[in-house]
Amino acid sequence: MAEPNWDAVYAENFPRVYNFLRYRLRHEALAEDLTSRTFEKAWRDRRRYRRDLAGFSTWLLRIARNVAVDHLRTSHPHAPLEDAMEVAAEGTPEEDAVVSSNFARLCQLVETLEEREQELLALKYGGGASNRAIAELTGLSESNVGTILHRAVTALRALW
Amino acid sequence: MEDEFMYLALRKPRVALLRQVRERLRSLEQTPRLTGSRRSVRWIAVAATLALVVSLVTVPSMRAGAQAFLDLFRVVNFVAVPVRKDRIDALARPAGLDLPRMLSEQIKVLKAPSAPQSVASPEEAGALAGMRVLVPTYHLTALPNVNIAVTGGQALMVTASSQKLQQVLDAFAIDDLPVPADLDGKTVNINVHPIVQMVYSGEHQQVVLVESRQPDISLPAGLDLARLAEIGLRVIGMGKSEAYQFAQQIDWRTTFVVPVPGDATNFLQVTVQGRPGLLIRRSASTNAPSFPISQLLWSTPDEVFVLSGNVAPQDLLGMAQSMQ
Repeated sequence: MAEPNWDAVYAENFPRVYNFLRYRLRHEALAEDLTSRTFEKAWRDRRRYRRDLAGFSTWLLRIARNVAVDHLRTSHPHAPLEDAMEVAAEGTPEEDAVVSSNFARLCQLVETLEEREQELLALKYGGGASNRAIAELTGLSESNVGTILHRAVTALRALW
Repeated sequence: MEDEFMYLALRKPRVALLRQVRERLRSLEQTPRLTGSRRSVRWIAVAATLALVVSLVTVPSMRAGAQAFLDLFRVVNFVAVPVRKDRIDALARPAGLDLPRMLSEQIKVLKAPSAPQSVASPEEAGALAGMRVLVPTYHLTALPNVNIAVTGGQALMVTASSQKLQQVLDAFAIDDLPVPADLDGKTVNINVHPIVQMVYSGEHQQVVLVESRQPDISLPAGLDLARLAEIGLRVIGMGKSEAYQFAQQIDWRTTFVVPVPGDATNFLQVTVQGRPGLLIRRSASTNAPSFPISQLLWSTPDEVFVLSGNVAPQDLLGMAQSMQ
Protein backbone atom coordinates (compact mmCIF):
# COMPACT_ATOMS: atom_id res chain seq x y z
CA MET A 1 0.00 0.00 0.00
CA ALA A 2 1.35 3.43 -0.94
CA GLU A 3 2.56 5.60 1.91
CA PRO A 4 0.80 8.88 2.61
CA ASN A 5 2.41 12.06 1.36
CA TRP A 6 4.44 12.84 4.46
CA ASP A 7 4.97 16.50 3.71
CA ALA A 8 1.24 17.06 3.40
CA VAL A 9 0.52 14.89 6.42
CA TYR A 10 3.07 16.77 8.47
CA ALA A 11 1.81 20.23 7.55
CA GLU A 12 -1.80 19.32 8.14
CA ASN A 13 -1.48 17.28 11.29
CA PHE A 14 1.33 18.86 13.24
CA PRO A 15 -0.88 21.70 14.60
CA ARG A 16 -3.64 19.24 15.45
CA VAL A 17 -1.36 16.92 17.40
CA TYR A 18 0.32 19.86 19.08
CA ASN A 19 -2.94 21.45 20.15
CA PHE A 20 -4.38 18.12 21.26
CA LEU A 21 -1.40 17.71 23.59
CA ARG A 22 -1.62 21.33 24.77
CA TYR A 23 -5.28 20.91 25.65
CA ARG A 24 -4.71 17.47 27.13
CA LEU A 25 -1.67 18.26 29.28
CA ARG A 26 -2.31 21.98 29.68
CA HIS A 27 1.38 22.68 29.40
CA GLU A 28 3.00 24.49 26.50
CA ALA A 29 6.55 23.20 26.71
CA LEU A 30 5.53 19.64 27.45
CA ALA A 31 3.17 19.70 24.49
CA GLU A 32 6.10 20.59 22.26
CA ASP A 33 8.22 17.72 23.56
CA LEU A 34 5.44 15.17 23.26
CA THR A 35 4.43 16.36 19.79
CA SER A 36 7.96 15.67 18.72
CA ARG A 37 7.82 12.24 20.29
CA THR A 38 4.49 11.47 18.63
CA PHE A 39 5.83 12.22 15.19
CA GLU A 40 8.96 10.19 15.82
CA LYS A 41 6.86 7.20 16.83
CA ALA A 42 4.58 7.67 13.86
CA TRP A 43 7.55 7.89 11.52
CA ARG A 44 9.15 4.76 12.94
CA ASP A 45 5.84 2.87 12.77
CA ARG A 46 4.62 4.32 9.50
CA ARG A 47 4.59 0.95 7.77
CA ARG A 48 2.10 -0.32 10.32
CA TYR A 49 -0.49 2.24 9.32
CA ARG A 50 -3.45 0.60 7.63
CA ARG A 51 -5.57 2.90 5.53
CA ASP A 52 -8.52 0.53 5.73
CA LEU A 53 -8.73 0.81 9.53
CA ALA A 54 -8.50 4.54 10.19
CA GLY A 55 -7.80 7.92 8.66
CA PHE A 56 -4.22 9.06 9.03
CA SER A 57 -5.16 11.90 11.39
CA THR A 58 -6.96 9.46 13.64
CA TRP A 59 -3.96 7.13 13.59
CA LEU A 60 -1.68 10.01 14.59
CA LEU A 61 -4.03 11.10 17.35
CA ARG A 62 -4.04 7.54 18.65
CA ILE A 63 -0.26 7.66 18.94
CA ALA A 64 -0.41 11.10 20.57
CA ARG A 65 -3.02 9.84 22.99
CA ASN A 66 -0.81 6.90 23.98
CA VAL A 67 2.18 9.20 24.38
CA ALA A 68 0.11 11.43 26.67
CA VAL A 69 -1.18 8.45 28.66
CA ASP A 70 2.38 7.15 29.11
CA HIS A 71 3.45 10.53 30.33
CA LEU A 72 0.56 10.92 32.75
CA ARG A 73 1.18 7.43 34.12
CA THR A 74 4.81 8.06 34.90
CA SER A 75 4.39 11.59 36.25
CA HIS A 76 3.22 12.81 39.59
CA PRO A 77 0.74 15.60 40.00
CA HIS A 78 2.47 18.88 40.50
CA ALA A 79 1.68 22.49 41.06
CA PRO A 80 0.82 24.31 37.83
CA LEU A 81 3.90 25.87 36.35
CA GLU A 82 2.47 27.22 33.13
CA ASP A 83 3.89 30.67 33.69
CA ALA A 84 7.38 29.30 33.99
CA MET A 85 6.97 27.08 30.97
CA GLU A 86 5.63 29.65 28.60
CA VAL A 87 7.00 28.98 25.15
CA ALA A 88 8.08 31.94 23.09
CA ALA A 89 5.17 32.75 20.82
CA GLU A 90 5.34 34.08 17.29
CA GLY A 91 2.17 36.07 16.67
CA THR A 92 1.83 39.73 17.48
CA PRO A 93 2.26 40.45 21.19
CA GLU A 94 -1.44 41.32 21.41
CA GLU A 95 -2.55 38.07 19.75
CA ASP A 96 -0.22 36.02 21.88
CA ALA A 97 -1.43 37.69 25.03
CA VAL A 98 -5.03 36.92 24.13
CA VAL A 99 -4.29 33.28 23.30
CA SER A 100 -2.24 32.85 26.47
CA SER A 101 -4.96 34.40 28.55
CA ASN A 102 -7.64 32.20 26.97
CA PHE A 103 -5.47 29.12 27.38
CA ALA A 104 -4.84 29.82 31.06
CA ARG A 105 -8.52 30.41 31.63
CA LEU A 106 -9.55 27.29 29.75
CA CYS A 107 -6.98 25.18 31.63
CA GLN A 108 -8.35 26.37 34.92
CA LEU A 109 -11.91 25.47 33.95
CA VAL A 110 -11.08 22.13 32.33
CA GLU A 111 -9.33 21.00 35.49
CA THR A 112 -12.70 20.88 37.21
CA LEU A 113 -13.95 18.21 34.77
CA GLU A 114 -13.50 14.45 34.89
CA GLU A 115 -10.51 12.88 33.15
CA ARG A 116 -12.63 11.35 30.40
CA GLU A 117 -14.31 14.67 29.67
CA GLN A 118 -10.93 16.39 29.60
CA GLU A 119 -9.60 13.90 27.08
CA LEU A 120 -12.61 14.09 24.81
CA LEU A 121 -12.44 17.89 24.81
CA ALA A 122 -8.76 17.79 23.91
CA LEU A 123 -9.40 15.39 21.03
CA LYS A 124 -12.33 17.41 19.73
CA TYR A 125 -11.13 20.99 20.11
CA GLY A 126 -7.36 20.61 20.27
CA GLY A 127 -6.97 17.71 17.85
CA GLY A 128 -9.89 18.63 15.62
CA ALA A 129 -11.25 15.07 15.68
CA SER A 130 -14.80 14.25 14.68
CA ASN A 131 -17.12 12.51 17.12
CA ARG A 132 -16.77 9.37 15.02
CA ALA A 133 -12.99 9.49 15.20
CA ILE A 134 -13.13 10.07 18.95
CA ALA A 135 -15.41 7.06 19.27
CA GLU A 136 -12.87 4.97 17.37
CA LEU A 137 -10.07 6.19 19.59
CA THR A 138 -11.78 5.77 22.92
CA GLY A 139 -14.04 2.79 22.35
CA LEU A 140 -17.12 4.80 23.27
CA SER A 141 -20.15 4.93 21.01
CA GLU A 142 -20.45 7.98 18.80
CA SER A 143 -23.66 9.05 20.51
CA ASN A 144 -22.03 8.67 23.91
CA VAL A 145 -19.15 10.88 22.76
CA GLY A 146 -21.62 13.51 21.62
CA THR A 147 -23.46 13.41 24.93
CA ILE A 148 -20.32 13.69 27.04
CA LEU A 149 -18.96 16.55 24.94
CA HIS A 150 -22.25 18.42 25.03
CA ARG A 151 -22.44 18.12 28.79
CA ALA A 152 -18.82 19.19 29.26
CA VAL A 153 -19.02 22.17 26.92
CA THR A 154 -22.26 23.32 28.50
CA ALA A 155 -20.63 23.22 31.91
CA LEU A 156 -17.58 25.15 30.68
CA ARG A 157 -19.63 27.72 28.80
CA ALA A 158 -21.55 28.54 31.97
CA LEU A 159 -18.25 29.39 33.65
CA TRP A 160 -16.52 31.09 30.70
CA MET B 1 -23.80 23.70 20.43
CA GLU B 2 -22.20 27.07 21.18
CA ASP B 3 -18.60 26.04 21.51
CA GLU B 4 -16.65 28.79 19.75
CA PHE B 5 -14.85 29.69 22.99
CA MET B 6 -13.20 26.26 22.94
CA TYR B 7 -11.16 27.32 19.90
CA LEU B 8 -9.93 30.59 21.36
CA ALA B 9 -6.87 29.00 22.97
CA LEU B 10 -5.58 27.21 19.86
CA ARG B 11 -2.06 28.21 18.93
CA LYS B 12 0.07 27.66 15.84
CA PRO B 13 3.19 25.63 16.62
CA ARG B 14 6.42 27.58 16.56
CA VAL B 15 8.14 27.54 13.19
CA ALA B 16 11.38 26.50 14.91
CA LEU B 17 9.64 23.49 16.42
CA LEU B 18 8.20 22.44 13.07
CA ARG B 19 11.66 22.67 11.57
CA GLN B 20 13.35 20.80 14.41
CA VAL B 21 10.95 17.88 14.28
CA ARG B 22 11.10 17.70 10.51
CA GLU B 23 14.89 17.54 10.68
CA ARG B 24 14.64 14.94 13.39
CA LEU B 25 12.46 12.76 11.18
CA ARG B 26 14.88 13.17 8.31
CA SER B 27 17.76 12.12 10.55
CA LEU B 28 15.79 9.07 11.68
CA GLU B 29 15.51 8.00 8.10
CA GLN B 30 19.28 7.86 7.94
CA THR B 31 19.72 6.27 11.36
CA PRO B 32 19.78 2.47 11.57
CA ARG B 33 17.11 1.09 13.88
CA LEU B 34 18.32 -0.08 17.24
CA THR B 35 18.56 -3.83 17.35
CA GLY B 36 20.17 -6.48 19.50
CA SER B 37 21.38 -4.85 22.69
CA ARG B 38 18.82 -2.13 22.22
CA ARG B 39 18.74 -1.09 25.83
CA SER B 40 22.48 -0.63 26.15
CA VAL B 41 22.72 1.26 22.87
CA ARG B 42 19.96 3.59 24.01
CA TRP B 43 21.60 4.06 27.35
CA ILE B 44 24.87 5.02 25.73
CA ALA B 45 23.04 7.59 23.64
CA VAL B 46 21.39 9.04 26.73
CA ALA B 47 24.61 9.09 28.69
CA ALA B 48 26.51 10.73 25.85
CA THR B 49 23.90 13.44 25.48
CA LEU B 50 23.78 13.99 29.21
CA ALA B 51 27.52 14.30 29.40
CA LEU B 52 27.54 16.79 26.55
CA VAL B 53 25.01 19.10 28.14
CA VAL B 54 26.31 18.83 31.67
CA SER B 55 29.80 19.56 30.46
CA LEU B 56 28.72 22.95 29.21
CA VAL B 57 28.63 24.25 32.74
CA THR B 58 30.78 21.79 34.62
CA VAL B 59 33.89 21.32 32.51
CA PRO B 60 36.53 23.03 34.65
CA SER B 61 38.15 24.95 31.84
CA MET B 62 34.88 26.40 30.63
CA ARG B 63 33.74 27.24 34.13
CA ALA B 64 37.03 28.68 35.20
CA GLY B 65 37.15 30.64 31.97
CA ALA B 66 33.73 32.11 32.55
CA GLN B 67 34.57 32.95 36.12
CA ALA B 68 37.90 34.45 35.25
CA PHE B 69 36.46 36.69 32.61
CA LEU B 70 33.04 37.43 33.99
CA ASP B 71 33.74 38.32 37.62
CA LEU B 72 31.45 36.44 39.94
CA PHE B 73 31.14 37.43 43.52
CA ARG B 74 27.82 35.84 44.32
CA VAL B 75 25.65 33.95 41.90
CA VAL B 76 22.19 35.44 41.98
CA ASN B 77 21.13 35.27 38.35
CA PHE B 78 21.80 32.83 35.56
CA VAL B 79 21.77 34.04 31.99
CA ALA B 80 22.05 31.78 28.97
CA VAL B 81 24.09 32.99 26.05
CA PRO B 82 23.98 31.16 22.72
CA VAL B 83 27.41 30.08 21.54
CA ARG B 84 28.35 29.48 17.94
CA LYS B 85 29.57 25.93 17.55
CA ASP B 86 32.30 26.92 15.13
CA ARG B 87 33.70 29.29 17.74
CA ILE B 88 33.79 26.59 20.41
CA ASP B 89 35.44 24.20 17.99
CA ALA B 90 38.03 26.80 17.09
CA LEU B 91 38.69 27.66 20.73
CA ALA B 92 39.09 24.04 21.79
CA ARG B 93 41.05 22.67 18.81
CA PRO B 94 44.58 21.71 19.86
CA ALA B 95 45.93 22.79 16.48
CA GLY B 96 44.20 26.15 16.80
CA LEU B 97 43.87 28.40 19.80
CA ASP B 98 43.65 25.48 22.23
CA LEU B 99 41.87 27.47 24.90
CA PRO B 100 42.06 24.67 27.49
CA ARG B 101 45.87 24.73 27.24
CA MET B 102 45.94 28.50 27.18
CA LEU B 103 43.81 28.67 30.30
CA SER B 104 45.75 25.96 32.05
CA GLU B 105 48.86 28.05 31.64
CA GLN B 106 47.12 30.92 33.38
CA ILE B 107 45.49 28.86 36.12
CA LYS B 108 47.40 27.78 39.16
CA VAL B 109 45.74 25.03 41.17
CA LEU B 110 46.20 25.92 44.82
CA LYS B 111 44.17 22.98 46.03
CA ALA B 112 43.12 20.03 43.87
CA PRO B 113 39.68 18.47 44.38
CA SER B 114 39.56 15.06 46.01
CA ALA B 115 38.08 12.08 44.19
CA PRO B 116 34.30 11.61 44.56
CA GLN B 117 33.42 9.69 47.70
CA SER B 118 30.20 7.66 47.86
CA VAL B 119 28.01 8.20 50.89
CA ALA B 120 24.86 6.55 52.17
CA SER B 121 22.62 9.51 52.88
CA PRO B 122 22.18 13.24 52.31
CA GLU B 123 22.98 13.77 55.98
CA GLU B 124 26.31 12.01 55.57
CA ALA B 125 26.98 14.03 52.43
CA GLY B 126 26.19 17.21 54.31
CA ALA B 127 28.54 16.31 57.13
CA LEU B 128 31.32 15.58 54.64
CA ALA B 129 30.72 18.69 52.54
CA GLY B 130 30.14 21.01 55.48
CA MET B 131 26.78 22.20 54.27
CA ARG B 132 23.09 21.54 54.68
CA VAL B 133 22.13 19.28 51.81
CA LEU B 134 18.67 19.88 50.38
CA VAL B 135 16.75 17.03 48.72
CA PRO B 136 13.64 17.02 46.53
CA THR B 137 10.45 15.65 48.04
CA TYR B 138 8.95 15.40 44.56
CA HIS B 139 9.88 11.91 43.41
CA LEU B 140 9.53 10.29 40.02
CA THR B 141 8.52 6.64 40.03
CA ALA B 142 10.70 6.12 36.95
CA LEU B 143 13.79 6.97 39.03
CA PRO B 144 13.86 4.53 41.95
CA ASN B 145 17.64 4.44 42.51
CA VAL B 146 19.65 7.12 44.29
CA ASN B 147 23.42 7.37 44.50
CA ILE B 148 25.12 10.13 46.45
CA ALA B 149 28.74 11.24 46.23
CA VAL B 150 30.80 14.16 47.53
CA THR B 151 33.74 15.72 45.72
CA GLY B 152 36.19 17.82 47.71
CA GLY B 153 36.61 21.51 47.12
CA GLN B 154 39.33 23.18 45.11
CA ALA B 155 41.11 26.48 45.00
CA LEU B 156 42.45 28.20 41.89
CA MET B 157 44.29 31.36 41.07
CA VAL B 158 43.85 32.78 37.58
CA THR B 159 46.36 35.27 36.25
CA ALA B 160 45.23 37.47 33.41
CA SER B 161 47.34 37.80 30.29
CA SER B 162 46.73 40.68 27.89
CA GLN B 163 48.84 39.01 25.27
CA LYS B 164 46.83 35.80 25.24
CA LEU B 165 43.52 37.59 25.25
CA GLN B 166 44.75 39.61 22.28
CA GLN B 167 45.67 36.35 20.51
CA VAL B 168 42.08 35.18 20.91
CA LEU B 169 40.72 38.46 19.54
CA ASP B 170 43.12 38.34 16.62
CA ALA B 171 42.09 34.78 15.80
CA PHE B 172 38.51 35.93 15.29
CA ALA B 173 39.44 39.23 13.63
CA ILE B 174 37.90 41.27 16.43
CA ASP B 175 39.83 44.51 16.06
CA ASP B 176 37.45 47.08 17.48
CA LEU B 177 37.77 46.05 21.13
CA PRO B 178 41.05 46.93 22.82
CA VAL B 179 42.18 44.71 25.67
CA PRO B 180 42.19 46.78 28.90
CA ALA B 181 45.73 48.09 29.35
CA ASP B 182 45.91 47.35 33.07
CA LEU B 183 44.71 43.75 32.80
CA ASP B 184 48.06 42.04 32.54
CA GLY B 185 49.14 40.15 35.65
CA LYS B 186 45.99 40.75 37.65
CA THR B 187 44.78 37.72 39.57
CA VAL B 188 41.44 36.24 40.46
CA ASN B 189 41.18 33.79 43.33
CA ILE B 190 38.47 31.17 43.18
CA ASN B 191 37.57 28.86 46.01
CA VAL B 192 35.10 26.15 45.05
CA HIS B 193 33.51 24.36 48.02
CA PRO B 194 32.83 20.60 48.14
CA ILE B 195 30.20 19.45 45.69
CA VAL B 196 27.39 17.03 46.54
CA GLN B 197 26.05 15.04 43.62
CA MET B 198 22.88 12.95 43.79
CA VAL B 199 22.06 10.70 40.85
CA TYR B 200 18.44 9.55 40.56
CA SER B 201 18.18 6.80 37.98
CA GLY B 202 15.83 4.28 36.44
CA GLU B 203 15.82 2.03 33.43
CA HIS B 204 15.89 4.74 30.80
CA GLN B 205 15.99 8.00 32.69
CA GLN B 206 18.37 9.80 34.95
CA VAL B 207 18.42 13.05 36.87
CA VAL B 208 21.59 14.46 38.37
CA LEU B 209 21.33 17.00 41.18
CA VAL B 210 24.46 18.96 41.99
CA GLU B 211 24.65 21.36 44.90
CA SER B 212 27.44 23.30 46.48
CA ARG B 213 27.99 26.35 48.62
CA GLN B 214 28.46 29.56 46.68
CA PRO B 215 32.03 29.79 45.42
CA ASP B 216 34.24 32.48 46.98
CA ILE B 217 35.74 34.69 44.31
CA SER B 218 37.95 37.65 45.00
CA LEU B 219 38.77 40.10 42.25
CA PRO B 220 41.33 42.84 41.87
CA ALA B 221 39.94 46.32 42.30
CA GLY B 222 39.17 48.42 39.27
CA LEU B 223 38.63 45.63 36.77
CA ASP B 224 36.45 46.76 33.86
CA LEU B 225 34.06 43.84 34.01
CA ALA B 226 31.68 45.11 31.36
CA ARG B 227 34.53 45.49 28.86
CA LEU B 228 35.90 42.02 29.61
CA ALA B 229 32.42 40.57 29.36
CA GLU B 230 31.91 42.28 26.01
CA ILE B 231 35.13 40.71 24.78
CA GLY B 232 34.01 37.30 26.03
CA LEU B 233 30.62 37.63 24.36
CA ARG B 234 32.17 38.64 21.04
CA VAL B 235 34.57 35.69 21.23
CA ILE B 236 31.73 33.19 21.60
CA GLY B 237 30.01 34.65 18.58
CA MET B 238 27.66 37.44 19.69
CA GLY B 239 27.26 40.40 17.33
CA LYS B 240 28.96 43.72 17.95
CA SER B 241 26.05 45.90 19.12
CA GLU B 242 24.30 43.03 20.88
CA ALA B 243 27.43 42.18 22.87
CA TYR B 244 27.90 45.82 23.84
CA GLN B 245 24.32 46.27 25.01
CA PHE B 246 24.27 42.92 26.79
CA ALA B 247 27.53 43.66 28.58
CA GLN B 248 26.23 47.02 29.76
CA GLN B 249 22.91 45.69 30.99
CA ILE B 250 24.12 42.75 33.06
CA ASP B 251 25.34 43.02 36.63
CA TRP B 252 28.49 40.96 36.22
CA ARG B 253 29.07 40.69 39.95
CA THR B 254 25.93 38.60 40.45
CA THR B 255 25.33 36.91 37.11
CA PHE B 256 26.56 33.54 35.98
CA VAL B 257 26.68 33.25 32.21
CA VAL B 258 25.86 29.80 30.86
CA PRO B 259 27.11 29.19 27.33
CA VAL B 260 24.71 27.00 25.37
CA PRO B 261 24.81 25.83 21.76
CA GLY B 262 22.64 28.32 19.93
CA ASP B 263 21.27 25.98 17.29
CA ALA B 264 20.14 23.12 19.48
CA THR B 265 18.68 24.58 22.63
CA ASN B 266 16.13 26.97 23.97
CA PHE B 267 16.05 28.45 27.42
CA LEU B 268 13.63 30.08 29.79
CA GLN B 269 13.95 32.29 32.82
CA VAL B 270 12.03 30.57 35.61
CA THR B 271 11.40 31.07 39.30
CA VAL B 272 12.46 28.40 41.77
CA GLN B 273 11.21 28.92 45.29
CA GLY B 274 11.01 32.64 44.64
CA ARG B 275 14.50 32.93 43.17
CA PRO B 276 15.50 33.40 39.55
CA GLY B 277 16.60 30.31 37.69
CA LEU B 278 17.40 29.23 34.18
CA LEU B 279 15.82 26.26 32.42
CA ILE B 280 17.73 24.98 29.39
CA ARG B 281 15.81 22.66 27.12
CA ARG B 282 17.42 20.65 24.40
CA SER B 283 15.64 20.38 21.10
CA ALA B 284 14.28 17.00 20.15
CA SER B 285 17.04 16.34 17.67
CA THR B 286 19.10 14.02 19.85
CA ASN B 287 18.97 10.26 19.60
CA ALA B 288 17.71 9.79 23.14
CA PRO B 289 14.75 7.44 23.56
CA SER B 290 13.25 9.52 26.32
CA PHE B 291 12.91 13.27 26.76
CA PRO B 292 15.75 15.41 25.51
CA ILE B 293 18.08 16.53 28.26
CA SER B 294 16.96 19.55 30.23
CA GLN B 295 18.96 21.47 32.75
CA LEU B 296 17.85 23.78 35.53
CA LEU B 297 20.17 26.15 37.40
CA TRP B 298 19.31 28.33 40.38
CA SER B 299 20.84 29.60 43.58
CA THR B 300 20.13 30.80 47.08
CA PRO B 301 22.29 33.31 48.96
CA ASP B 302 24.33 30.37 50.27
CA GLU B 303 24.18 27.64 47.64
CA VAL B 304 24.18 26.94 43.92
CA PHE B 305 22.11 24.12 42.38
CA VAL B 306 22.08 22.36 39.01
CA LEU B 307 19.53 19.71 38.02
CA SER B 308 20.02 17.84 34.74
CA GLY B 309 18.13 14.94 33.27
CA ASN B 310 16.23 13.33 30.46
CA VAL B 311 12.81 13.82 32.05
CA ALA B 312 10.02 16.26 31.30
CA PRO B 313 11.13 19.84 32.02
CA GLN B 314 8.26 20.36 34.43
CA ASP B 315 9.45 17.35 36.42
CA LEU B 316 12.81 19.05 36.88
CA LEU B 317 10.96 22.15 38.01
CA GLY B 318 8.78 20.04 40.28
CA MET B 319 11.88 18.56 41.89
CA ALA B 320 13.49 21.97 42.29
CA GLN B 321 10.38 23.54 43.80
CA SER B 322 10.15 20.71 46.33
CA MET B 323 13.72 20.96 47.61
CA GLN B 324 13.93 21.16 51.38
